[in-house]
Amino acid sequence: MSIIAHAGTNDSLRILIPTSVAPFYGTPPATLRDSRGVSYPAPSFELSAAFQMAGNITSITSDTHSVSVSLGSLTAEVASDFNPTRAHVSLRADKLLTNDIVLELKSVGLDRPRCLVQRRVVGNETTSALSLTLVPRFAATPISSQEYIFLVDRSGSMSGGRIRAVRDALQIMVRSLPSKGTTFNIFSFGDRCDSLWPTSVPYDKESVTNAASHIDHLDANYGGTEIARALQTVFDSRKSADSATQKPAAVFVLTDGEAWDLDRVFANVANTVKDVRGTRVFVLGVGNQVSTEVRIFESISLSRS
Amino acid sequence: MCDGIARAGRGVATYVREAEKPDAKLVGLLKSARGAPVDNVSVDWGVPPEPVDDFDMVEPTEAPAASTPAAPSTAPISLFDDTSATIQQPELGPTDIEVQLPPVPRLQQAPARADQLPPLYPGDRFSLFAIISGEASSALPQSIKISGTMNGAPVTLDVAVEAAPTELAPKDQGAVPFIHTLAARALIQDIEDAAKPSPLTALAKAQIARLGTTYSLASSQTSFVAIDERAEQIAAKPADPEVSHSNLSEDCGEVDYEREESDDDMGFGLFDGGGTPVTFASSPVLSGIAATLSAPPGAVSRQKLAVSADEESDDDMGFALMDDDVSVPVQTSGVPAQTPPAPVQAPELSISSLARTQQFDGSFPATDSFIIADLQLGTVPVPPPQLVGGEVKQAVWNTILALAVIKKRFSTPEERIACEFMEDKAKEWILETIVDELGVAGDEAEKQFALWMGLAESHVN
Repeated sequence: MSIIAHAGTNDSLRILIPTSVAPFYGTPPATLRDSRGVSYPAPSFELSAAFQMAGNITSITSDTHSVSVSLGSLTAEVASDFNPTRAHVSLRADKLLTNDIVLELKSVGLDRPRCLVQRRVVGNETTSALSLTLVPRFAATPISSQEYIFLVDRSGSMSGGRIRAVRDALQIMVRSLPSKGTTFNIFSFGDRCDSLWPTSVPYDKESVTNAASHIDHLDANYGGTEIARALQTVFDSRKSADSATQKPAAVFVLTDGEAWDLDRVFANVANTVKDVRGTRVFVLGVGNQVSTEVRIFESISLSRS
Repeated sequence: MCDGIARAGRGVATYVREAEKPDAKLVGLLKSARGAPVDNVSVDWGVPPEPVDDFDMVEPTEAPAASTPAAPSTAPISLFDDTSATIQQPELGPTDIEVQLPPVPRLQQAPARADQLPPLYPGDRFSLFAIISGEASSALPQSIKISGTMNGAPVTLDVAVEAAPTELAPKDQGAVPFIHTLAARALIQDIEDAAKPSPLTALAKAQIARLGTTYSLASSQTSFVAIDERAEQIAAKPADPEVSHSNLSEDCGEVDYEREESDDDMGFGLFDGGGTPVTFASSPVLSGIAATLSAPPGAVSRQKLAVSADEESDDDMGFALMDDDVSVPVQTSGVPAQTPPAPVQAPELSISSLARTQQFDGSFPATDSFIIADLQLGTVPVPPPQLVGGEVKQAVWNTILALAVIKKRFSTPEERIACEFMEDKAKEWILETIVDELGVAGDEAEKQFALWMGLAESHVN
């Protein structure tokens, strides 16, 4: 399960409970390959979740499943003492669930800094567990000059509505870049990776016009999702620039995919961010099945290989 | 994958669902990217620094012939340990390298290392866990302090520590309290992340195993063993690949192969679909009202956007009423007119359709066709006298009209976020242009802009 904190507004949390793992692209480890193709009996499924928030819960909804919600108590039964900071959600299905369960919870004061402590005494050992959470509110100093790189997933799975929505969003993004001190570039990736320009170009009338028509021709016709190589290509395009005058860069990855060998991807990104001053990577996950939590499987494949 | 890449890239990850427009989320990311985050984040949990650890952290490279089993113990190792020989059973499968774990540190924080703490971005939730070992008598910390730097300047925040609600306490004696579980899980994840991309070291594995067993968590190093009291009936089952594959919905604690058939207490649908916006565009009631209005000749039909019911109700004027004396704010005629749900002919007015027409400097095209076809205003509103004549003046007026259309048509919180930078740039361009090229005094520019903006908004209903 994972909690996607950044659900757009500060008063909502999105909770994702994966029921399956989104399809990965690439070659799975041999141990997993052999186990493919087994048929599953449809297990009955039951989800019960209790919510205790600091502030009043204003709503709990799910766009993905029909859940039953009872506000005011921690159990499905209505409690005699209605407590607006509590809620209970349940879901039962006798069929195999085909997509992840997404719950969205809105509550008052969710963004306030909070630090909870809970004590545990086992024998003569005492431990205190603390959980700190906050949604920072501060006016960030604008970065006066920056390189903006968009890396767009054009693999087959992006076809149809997804790539269309991405095209629209990119048009807005390109117009939203600061008109001064900006350079930018658009990379496409799938099983190959290419870019509109070899390296980023200054933001001006001509480059924006070219980018706009380029964006409207982005189709999902690039095959698989070779994200490791794509990120490397993006980082390489920065290395070729004169390091003395190099701007910091923000790389935006737009993808719906999953890929194997993520550890190498993460390590590569982390190293690049450490080495090349001022590179940051932002990610937009598109689609209901973007797995955010595949750690269990990562660990399995890691320990077996 | 997305979280991992953003974490490694010191950025932010965000998600859009299938039915959701990515505009606002993507612009939100841009907003994060345009500013400098708070870096070098650290948290003072009020725990005095660890005394210098004299424990030898050297990793054994291969299994030593005789070492103690992993245990959180600092007792001196006996050179002749009676129990040690009996443990060395030949085993199938991979043999774990045995390590001696250092004692549990007083403070365990996840993420642990300072360079692994994510930078703070406005609006992006930041979560951190810690487990502090102490004496039973020691007081709970009263407050903690977060510090960091933004562009070199120090920033801090003190957060008061509250006791968790008693409802979060475990019901069974001995069960792990909730926050311990979350914290231990974060600690395990942190150890696994730190090792990547190399395989976990023996020490890391032992640390994960200790956390897993102490706090009852399944992990890469620990598993639950399901014990079913009716074992004889289903003895062969656990080996069945059908059970062991990728469905995460199986219950970890207790195996129960009996399918729950009864579905009479499902109670679905009470809050069903609460998150789906309701579109009023094709409501028959609205069509009826629309039929009483006559569109002016030549008016371009406009598709009604999905709006919420209360927005619909605030004296929304039909555009049929405003085609003649347009330089004067239109009076309502007392008819609670609704915008007709016109047949879809013109391309849908959207933030992205307007983005496509915006110039790189923030301005919008200085043509009448832009107003009719792109802004989808029925007629070309007469500009204020100061903005009559010449391409620059028309561009300024059209850009103001575009801002008015964006402001009125895209008013949901998500749409506001998506438009934010387009609007900023357009306004910036207008202010610069009217000062530099139209001779408006610098300190008058904002006021002048607001006046024109008000006029433009009166043309957009």
